Amino acid sequence: MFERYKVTDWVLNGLIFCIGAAEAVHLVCLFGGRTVGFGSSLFMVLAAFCVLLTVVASLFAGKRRTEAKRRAGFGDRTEKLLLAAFLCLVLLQLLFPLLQGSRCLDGDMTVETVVSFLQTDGIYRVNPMTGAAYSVGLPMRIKVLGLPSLYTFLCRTFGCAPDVFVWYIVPAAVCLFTYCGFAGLAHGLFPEDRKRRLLFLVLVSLLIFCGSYRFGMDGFGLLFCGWRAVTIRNLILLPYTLSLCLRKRYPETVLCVLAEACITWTFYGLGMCAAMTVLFFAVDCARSHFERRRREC
Amino acid sequence: MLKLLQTAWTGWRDFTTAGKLPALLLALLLFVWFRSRKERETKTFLLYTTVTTALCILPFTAAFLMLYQTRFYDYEWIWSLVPMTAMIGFGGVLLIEDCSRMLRGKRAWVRGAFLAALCGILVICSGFGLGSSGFSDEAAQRAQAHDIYTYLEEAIPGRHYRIWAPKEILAYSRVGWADCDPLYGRNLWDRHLNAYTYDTYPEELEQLELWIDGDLERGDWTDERCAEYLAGTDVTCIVLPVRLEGAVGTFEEVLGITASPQGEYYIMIR
Repeated sequence: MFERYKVTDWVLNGLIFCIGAAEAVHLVCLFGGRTVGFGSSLFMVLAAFCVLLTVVASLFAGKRRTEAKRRAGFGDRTEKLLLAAFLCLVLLQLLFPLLQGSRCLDGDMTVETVVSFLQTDGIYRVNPMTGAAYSVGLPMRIKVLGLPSLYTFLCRTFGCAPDVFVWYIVPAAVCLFTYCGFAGLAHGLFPEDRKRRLLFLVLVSLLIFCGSYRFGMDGFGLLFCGWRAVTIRNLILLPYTLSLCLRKRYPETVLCVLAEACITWTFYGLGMCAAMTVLFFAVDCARSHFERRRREC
Repeated sequence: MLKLLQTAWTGWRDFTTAGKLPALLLALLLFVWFRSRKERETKTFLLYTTVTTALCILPFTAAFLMLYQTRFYDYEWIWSLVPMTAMIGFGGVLLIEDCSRMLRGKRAWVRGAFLAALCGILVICSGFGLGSSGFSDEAAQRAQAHDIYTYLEEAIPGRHYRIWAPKEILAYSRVGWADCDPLYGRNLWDRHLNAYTYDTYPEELEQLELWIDGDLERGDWTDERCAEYLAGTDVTCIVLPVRLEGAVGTFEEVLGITASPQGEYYIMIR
């Protein structure tokens, strides 16, 4: 089964494992009354294991791919040109938060939440908006989401300021993971043609800029609110789910469904990744059925 | 002339913003469906994109999807199901290939120029992320807030304080570089944030927010009423914008403090 895994698959699985680890530690801290300091140490141990696993698996997958690439040759001038254009556009997007400077904070309180976790050394001990104790409380569906804790553990471990980490470092990381997701998708759409895959990635990176005009578009999410859970879902988890569906690896989409449930408010855990898998499977079955019937006729 | 050029640029930017990607998606879906050569493995992808696009456009199915995604999210989020970026990228690759095939036999520079022109259209439509002008003043607001908090930290070093200020200042009170708590949080004016808490604010705080943020049609509190209410709270720092300069005297009198001008604001520390 693992032979079919590519480097991008392992990188994204590594991210999903880290989200899972953060969620587990978040729940331990929340319901076990543990401190952020304890949570950070526990998370870093789990995350180190996940990263190690990912790196080793990626190296194996990369070695296999490199041998295949060596046989296929490095690529012609067009491929090199496309690769250079793609890398330039990605670099521009990585630097975008620094160059542009503005971001969309409407309906988002991630930085405030991370600050409150670090200040109180605990999870949801005060209202992040006011810094005062809650008088009534907050919905359980928000309480169990682990993304702010993931950022808090990393801020605490690396001693980074919450605003710098959330507004500058996370969007850059999300940008890289996004292109891992789209690279996986390109493999699903054009399995045998590297030139087409590169052209696809160049077009996607241009479309990210094109789609920055409106809240809710992929480009806007990546360039103006790259730290939000919905951005991670739309730009990393959903493309990965789609690439798995294209390769008919439906059971493995469970990882994406679980990761989405850990970070975004879903319909009792049944978020967009689950809906995408079910719909894609239904469409695939219907298409196969009709093609079979047409052949029989 | 410079203004004319600026208007021409922003005019083009506004002209090419709203709704361009859904339109491109529908156009490319049509193109790929009516294209004679279809790869077997991508047929399901095409069918899936078409079905989900239809589900998001038809009102009944869109309403069902909105229920499924929970009321926490607005309409635009049901479009997450549609792989719009991927489909446009995929359609774009096929379109470029077909065009290149048509140009087969022409010189290399003609083919290159054609490809560059196609990508150029995307580039000039993209605006390189500068199309979202609604958020371009966020950085300036943050810088302004930073100046105020830096001034306060120098004026009252090492002291934790409670602040009341206009929303452009108060919005940054909890982002990490100020040792203070706001009188009310951002969720008082950004209603989407109320989904994160069951706590509510008293009517008086809503009136204070209406007064200081200049929504005079809705707010009905006078300067005296605001100052008297603040006298009964634990607010230690008040920041008033210069447009409320007329109220500064009342605040000084009722609260017994002195205001000092700081840029576009008056700062009062109790």
